[in-house]
Amino acid sequence: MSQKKTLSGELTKGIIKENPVFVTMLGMCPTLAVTTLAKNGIGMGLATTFVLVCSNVVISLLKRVIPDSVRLPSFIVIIAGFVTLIEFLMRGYLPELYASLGIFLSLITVNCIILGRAEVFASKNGVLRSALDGLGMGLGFTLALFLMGSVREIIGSGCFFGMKIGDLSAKPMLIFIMPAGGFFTLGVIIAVVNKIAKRKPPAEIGCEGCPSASLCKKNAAEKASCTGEEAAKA
Amino acid sequence: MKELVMILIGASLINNVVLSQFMGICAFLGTSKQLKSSVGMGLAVVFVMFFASLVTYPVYILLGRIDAQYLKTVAFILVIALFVQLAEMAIKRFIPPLYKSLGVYLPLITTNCAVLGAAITNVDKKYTLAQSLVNSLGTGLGFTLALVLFAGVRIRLETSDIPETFKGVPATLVAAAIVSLSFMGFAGIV
Amino acid sequence: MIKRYILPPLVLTLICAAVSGLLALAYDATYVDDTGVLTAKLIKACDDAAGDGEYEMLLDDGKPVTFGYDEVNSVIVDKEREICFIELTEDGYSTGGLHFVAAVDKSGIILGVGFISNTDTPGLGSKVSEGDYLKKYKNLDNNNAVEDVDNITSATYSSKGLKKGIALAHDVFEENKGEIFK
Repeated sequence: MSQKKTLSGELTKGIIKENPVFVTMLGMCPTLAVTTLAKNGIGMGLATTFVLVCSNVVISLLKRVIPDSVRLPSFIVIIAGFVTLIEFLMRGYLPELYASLGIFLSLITVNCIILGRAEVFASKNGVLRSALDGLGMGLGFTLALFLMGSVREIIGSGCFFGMKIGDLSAKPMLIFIMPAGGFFTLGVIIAVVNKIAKRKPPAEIGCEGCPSASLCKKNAAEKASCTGEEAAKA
Repeated sequence: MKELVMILIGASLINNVVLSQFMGICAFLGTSKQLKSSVGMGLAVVFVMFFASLVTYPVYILLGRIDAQYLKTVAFILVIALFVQLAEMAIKRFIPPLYKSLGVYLPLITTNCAVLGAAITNVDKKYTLAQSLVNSLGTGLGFTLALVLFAGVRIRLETSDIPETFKGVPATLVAAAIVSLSFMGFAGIV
Repeated sequence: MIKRYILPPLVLTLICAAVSGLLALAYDATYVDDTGVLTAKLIKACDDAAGDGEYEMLLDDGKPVTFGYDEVNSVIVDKEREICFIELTEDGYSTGGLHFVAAVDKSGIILGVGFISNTDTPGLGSKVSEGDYLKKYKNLDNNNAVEDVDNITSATYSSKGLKKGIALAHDVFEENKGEIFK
């Protein structure tokens, strides 16, 4: 992570260049699970953005206080706290969205993007940069979820934000809102993004942003093979 | 007894944690490249999930006593993280052979949403201790099954001729869609 | 020594305590207690189920009467038309995905269903709460007739959950008729 980036660079990198879903391949679970509607995608994305910004700020403030040996549990508790807070807010003010996001709202806690940013960015950078980084990554995530949700809602139920689209809504391709359609849509979108960006598709799910990466490398040093990726290289 | 069997089948096949609930996707895509690593990861998840539900059950009762069920996410994830770290240390120190095959996957599991997901599902559905354990076991086995099956698919994927843009992750996701489609066939069992 | 064994647990405990304390405050600030209150949504669902009317919720010590069923949230009566509305939460495809009221009249005829919320898969499970499908559950006189209504294709779970709820509402009504229309 280069330290020389401008502040606006910190903000925009997450939206396109290091988009958490399309480029670093993090946070796949909610990307696939809640995107049956464009509205749910945006709701989930914004909830994650809120948690990401808040936890990045708090962790970057506390980075000198937290001893290394309890770093991971401390981060997790702080993140889980903000997740529970957004759950309260959503239940109180947006009960329908709360119900349709269901268990995945609680599962923001274990979204690799958040712990990943805490570990690789917020615990090493200042408050302002961390907040911007969180905001950028969150918006990038929201954008990706919105894109997925729109494609699946339009093809799968012939609607867009609940509005019926002509002939499509009469005989929609139901498979797109079923689980299989989620995998398929994400695969195709990533391929299209790669084509447009003229970039080689990532061969593997990213290790760089993975919160367990540091633990993993420690193990790898002790023992030659670590995760599947590591084993595959050997 | 019949109910427990239904929960087991439901959790492992019908509502397969990876292919229809979308939990633990990162681990699913990350470690399904080889058969060996997929079996190791799968068994480690079964182990952690089973004991995590054993540990979170009393925690939830305790929270219920003080009317603070809303703290469940915080409490559960902390308990799971601590359990995983302790289990890793214990296995490394006392059963080195097991550590070689399972232990290396343990750190990856703390942030596997399938584990927290199973624990939360248990309390959301108001399962008893026995039902929770069976549900977690079923979920873990379903995860292993999906992982092992998909490892088989990916080995073939490696050698096939795929358009340049789709190579790597996109092709893997499309293949996962087809495997997920096949699991929809289980929907009629119960 | 202190740095290695005392400080880390202390910091972790402090963080946990701070997080839990703030959450307890936030919980009280955002929690809206509407158990036992006839909310606008509830009234609309009752209207959808059996036409407009005047409603009253059965309360026992400020809490809604549920006759001991987990799925039943409350029992609402229209005294003038002698209709009983049972508010239920049933599992559809997702846990607790179907939230609706079922209307049963004095002679035990199921008058209809009105939805409060349905969070099952949009386009599939969501179809069970659409008017065209709910019409099929109007004026059925027993649980067999409920069972005979066609399920929605590819939304078996949601259809089954809805039927289970309606049948339960009917049973709850038959068991507790005397108490409901006191």
